[in-house]
Amino acid sequence: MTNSSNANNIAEIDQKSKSKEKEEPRIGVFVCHCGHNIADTVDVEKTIEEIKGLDNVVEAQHYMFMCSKQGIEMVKNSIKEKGVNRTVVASCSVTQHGPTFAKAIEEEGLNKHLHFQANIREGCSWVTSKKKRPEATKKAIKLVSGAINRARKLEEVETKQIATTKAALVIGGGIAGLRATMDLANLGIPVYLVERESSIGGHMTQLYKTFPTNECPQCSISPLTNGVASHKNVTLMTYSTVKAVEGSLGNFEVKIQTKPRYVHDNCTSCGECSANCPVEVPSEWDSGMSMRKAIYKLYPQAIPSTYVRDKKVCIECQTCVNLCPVGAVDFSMKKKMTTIKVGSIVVATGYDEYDPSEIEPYHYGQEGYEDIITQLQFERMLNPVSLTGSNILRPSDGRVPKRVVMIQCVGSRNEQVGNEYCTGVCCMFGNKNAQMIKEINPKIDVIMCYIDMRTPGIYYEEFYKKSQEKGIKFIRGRPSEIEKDPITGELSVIVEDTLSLTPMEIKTDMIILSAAMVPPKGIGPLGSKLQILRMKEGFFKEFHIKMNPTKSSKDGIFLAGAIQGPKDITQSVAQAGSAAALAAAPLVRGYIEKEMIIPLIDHSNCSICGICVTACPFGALAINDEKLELNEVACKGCGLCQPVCPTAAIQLINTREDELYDEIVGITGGITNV
Amino acid sequence: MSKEKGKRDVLAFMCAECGQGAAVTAGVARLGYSTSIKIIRVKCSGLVGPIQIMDALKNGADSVAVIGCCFQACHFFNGNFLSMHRIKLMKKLFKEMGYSDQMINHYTARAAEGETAVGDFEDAIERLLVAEKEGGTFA
Repeated sequence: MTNSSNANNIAEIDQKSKSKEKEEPRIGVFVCHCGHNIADTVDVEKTIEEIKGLDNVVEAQHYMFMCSKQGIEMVKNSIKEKGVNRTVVASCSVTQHGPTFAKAIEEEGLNKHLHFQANIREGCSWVTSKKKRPEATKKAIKLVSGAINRARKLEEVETKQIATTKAALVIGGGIAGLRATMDLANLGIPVYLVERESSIGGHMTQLYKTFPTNECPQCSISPLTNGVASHKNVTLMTYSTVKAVEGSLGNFEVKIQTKPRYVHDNCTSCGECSANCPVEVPSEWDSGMSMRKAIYKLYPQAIPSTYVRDKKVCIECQTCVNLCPVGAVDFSMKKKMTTIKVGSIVVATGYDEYDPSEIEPYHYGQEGYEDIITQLQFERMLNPVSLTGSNILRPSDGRVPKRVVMIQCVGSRNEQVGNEYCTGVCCMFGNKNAQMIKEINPKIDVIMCYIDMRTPGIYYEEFYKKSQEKGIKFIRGRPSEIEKDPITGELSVIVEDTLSLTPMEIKTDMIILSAAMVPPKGIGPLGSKLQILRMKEGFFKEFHIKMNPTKSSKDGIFLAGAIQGPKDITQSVAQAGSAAALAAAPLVRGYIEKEMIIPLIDHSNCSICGICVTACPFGALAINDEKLELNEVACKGCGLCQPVCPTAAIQLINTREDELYDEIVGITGGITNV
Repeated sequence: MSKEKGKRDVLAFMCAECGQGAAVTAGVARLGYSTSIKIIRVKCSGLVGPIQIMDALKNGADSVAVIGCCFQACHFFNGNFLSMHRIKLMKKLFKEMGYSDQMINHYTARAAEGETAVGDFEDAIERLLVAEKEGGTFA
């Protein structure tokens, strides 16, 4: 082969590829009536007449419902019979039926990005009154001709497969986190479970009984806590917090900081250290209802069973160091940082109980008002190792109360404290604890003050009925104030019974506040590390409240349990299972598909000024060896680099400046032939 | 020279996230607004550069509105901020050149509230009327 023929060959190939690039656009336009939705306001026939003569338009049709099977067949037939290679459907929004038509043309062998949707329903017919039919028709013609102009230069966009890291991170070791961890681990995915406290189990292990079956929560959760701790796929990281999160769906890099326990893992949990520790402080876990030592375990069944030393209260007497039979206590332990790589993240950090001290008339937490406690404190009062010996006693003087008043909706349904939402579970746990009081000591008089009794769901209303049968009294009304007699020290609740319209003053010995569920402490910093959105109430926001309540606003991060809003255990477990399934999908498949909607760089025009590098919010652009380089995986296709470029060398595919210009001309100038 | 009512062209560049979301919500709720408003869908409000805005005005649009997500809620980190600053600069430029700075505006919208988008549109038209009164439009 001579040199010249070789050159000819190359020239031929060049021309071939060029001709493929410059393939004559043959545009098919389809206008939808959407029943009466569009056709009543927009003259569909006239629209078709007007746009028929435009350049490159080879097919222009209208149909009653384009999204129906017949409508889609129409699009497909135009591709088969008239050789249409760009489609424009003027109907509803891109989010609603854009994918429908994109899929249809894909089935006919066209790239799905060669479809363009003109929105003449939400953007035109629905927002214009039927009396303005001529104006609406004109607007629709302009929108459709803009779309045709835009469709003319559409290019194929390839879809690439990106490998994912087969590992998952679960943040929070409560019931939701444990369920998600277990489900993920059972699918064969290595899971890192990060828990802030020194043991897993969360709020569920703090409860005395669970409604509506009055089951022992410790018994229900222990298969999960034990199972997770001994599962070969689970790496348990207690006493740890997430410090930094980088990356995107499929490939996250997470930094985790672990606080020192000062006790090594060879601890046999014999309890010798704790028994001989001279320091005793109120236990935070038991909400002050029991005492703990400076070297302690949160609760006897805690997992992991390794003891923890509280450095803040320890007097460093070294008793535990000397007593430990296996030499596990070590005061020189340091905090450590671990970096892990995961493919998806499940956030299950749960909730905090609302602190009612904010509500001044209830005097919670003030001196002299020790007999006002919250439901969680009451649950801990009944626990086997509490100071009261699991009896119902007044915290101030240890007497058995004659009457207990429960106040519902403390901190929820209250605009004054900023929580408009209903926590939804307080009615049930209020009822449950009222029944517990009656079971333990039937002589105690129990009164519940409520606004509305909300017990929807199977066995829940029956549970409420059971409370009524047990002789618990219900008063419909939110107490305005709690007063204390200065001489006798007796508490009284001021409330109006709104059913009989009588103001009441109920003398009582003990008051239990049903405090709301609020977002946990530290949710703000965690949210900004994960870069996910929060609702105005403070919980993490779901992707869609009806259709996708498990996904967060960011791909690859899923929500489980009360972090997405107040939930009971049943709902938390259900959502955790869903989160685990969604988080596992890209990991089990091994790859994710990414549409390469990325900017194209014209290196001959690029002056390597670096403005686009600073404009890119995802760090996808970099200048290496005097050349601008794009990280295709990190790029999200936002196009922020396009307008900042002084030489128009970087152009987002299918949104290039000349394409936008064409659309602008189509819309402003009405019908234009290029 | 002011145009006949309803024959003006206000080009609204709306981002594909909250902007489009708000427009669709407004449509679904059947909130009416003027037919002058023509929406162009872009990926992010930060993608709309001075060139696009000038193109629009050159080709017969009377006013341009760039509508993005609420601040702190941009789906691409800070596209709406970039856009806002860009439009602030362009307003300055317009004023120096002797035109009205009411023809180009930056707005934000909330996907869940169609009213926000309609409010933005109404404001854009109101400002255009002010510009026409001042006699600072291109036409």
